[in-house]
Amino acid sequence: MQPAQIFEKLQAEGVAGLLEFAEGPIDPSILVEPDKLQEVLSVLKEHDDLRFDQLSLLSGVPYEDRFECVYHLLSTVLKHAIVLRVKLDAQEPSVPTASTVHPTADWHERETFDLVGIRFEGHPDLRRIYLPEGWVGHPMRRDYVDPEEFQGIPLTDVKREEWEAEEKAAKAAAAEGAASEEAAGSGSDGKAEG
Amino acid sequence: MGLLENRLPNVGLFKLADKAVDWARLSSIWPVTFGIACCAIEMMATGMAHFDLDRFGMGVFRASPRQADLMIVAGTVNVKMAPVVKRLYEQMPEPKWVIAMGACGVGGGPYCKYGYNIIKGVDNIIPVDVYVPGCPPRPEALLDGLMRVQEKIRKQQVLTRKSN
Repeated sequence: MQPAQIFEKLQAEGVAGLLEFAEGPIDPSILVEPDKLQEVLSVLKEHDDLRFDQLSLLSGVPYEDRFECVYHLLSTVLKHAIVLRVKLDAQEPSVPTASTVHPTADWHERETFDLVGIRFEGHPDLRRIYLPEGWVGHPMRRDYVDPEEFQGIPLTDVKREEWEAEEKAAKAAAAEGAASEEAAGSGSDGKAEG
Repeated sequence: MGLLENRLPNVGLFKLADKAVDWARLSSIWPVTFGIACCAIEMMATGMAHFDLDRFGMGVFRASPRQADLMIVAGTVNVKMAPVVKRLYEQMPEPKWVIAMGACGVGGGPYCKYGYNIIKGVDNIIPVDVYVPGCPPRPEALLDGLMRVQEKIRKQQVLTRKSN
């Protein structure tokens, strides 16, 4: 079934919470209300014509003004795929967990919480999975600033920064030298200085 | 060497004894298996048939740090892995040496600018004796690094008194 047909099928079944169908060249997606997410996922899983038994990917996407959570579903039986999207608040993004319907969402949601900061209500064990405990901040957010150190271990590359500063100063000095030579009208080859 | 460490005068036969101890140490450096990431593959390649490590006496990679002399930190060290590296280094008995293998161990490697979770060089956590650059270093480069550790050991004064 094509994504548009899947959307029409869901609407015909009377599933609540479907907001719109976004056409697109790569991944036509269905926008779903966050509160009705678990219902939509279970209908997609159990219905005989749909049978979406695999959640292949769950990811959080940080935009400038909002967060989104994207679910890629795959049917290993009927060989079709669909994408669900959920739009979330910019200040405190939160969505019901998909792990009640698809247990694989457990670790995917931990990853999304770790890197983007979206909270999943009803998740059995929501804690960081990649970064160590005690890490502050969510690195994949747009306003994230790399930390200088973590629990006493330095995380900046001091030698490389010093070397880069020296290179910049040397380039600036060379550019100034070239500019003053041109102003004096010495007629030398200005390109060689750059 | 405990009671005998740096006690004997630096003359004649004692110098020879020093050389013997150094020769024994450098001919049987036992590394601890500490391949973290891609450099581990090159370390395994160095240990295998073509670039044999066994002819240097280093063929026995001990699984336990308590039985090893040398730690080859082969791979990228995360912030999560850093306390483990430190703990394993502290579990090794003296005398011990450390080789920082690969660009990640030397100075953060390709993650040195934007890697927020990477230790920029393992010498931020443990003292390093030899740095082997490369991404990954060829087995010949790692062998060069290992031979430099051997040179370092050869110059050590273990039994004789060091002059001020």
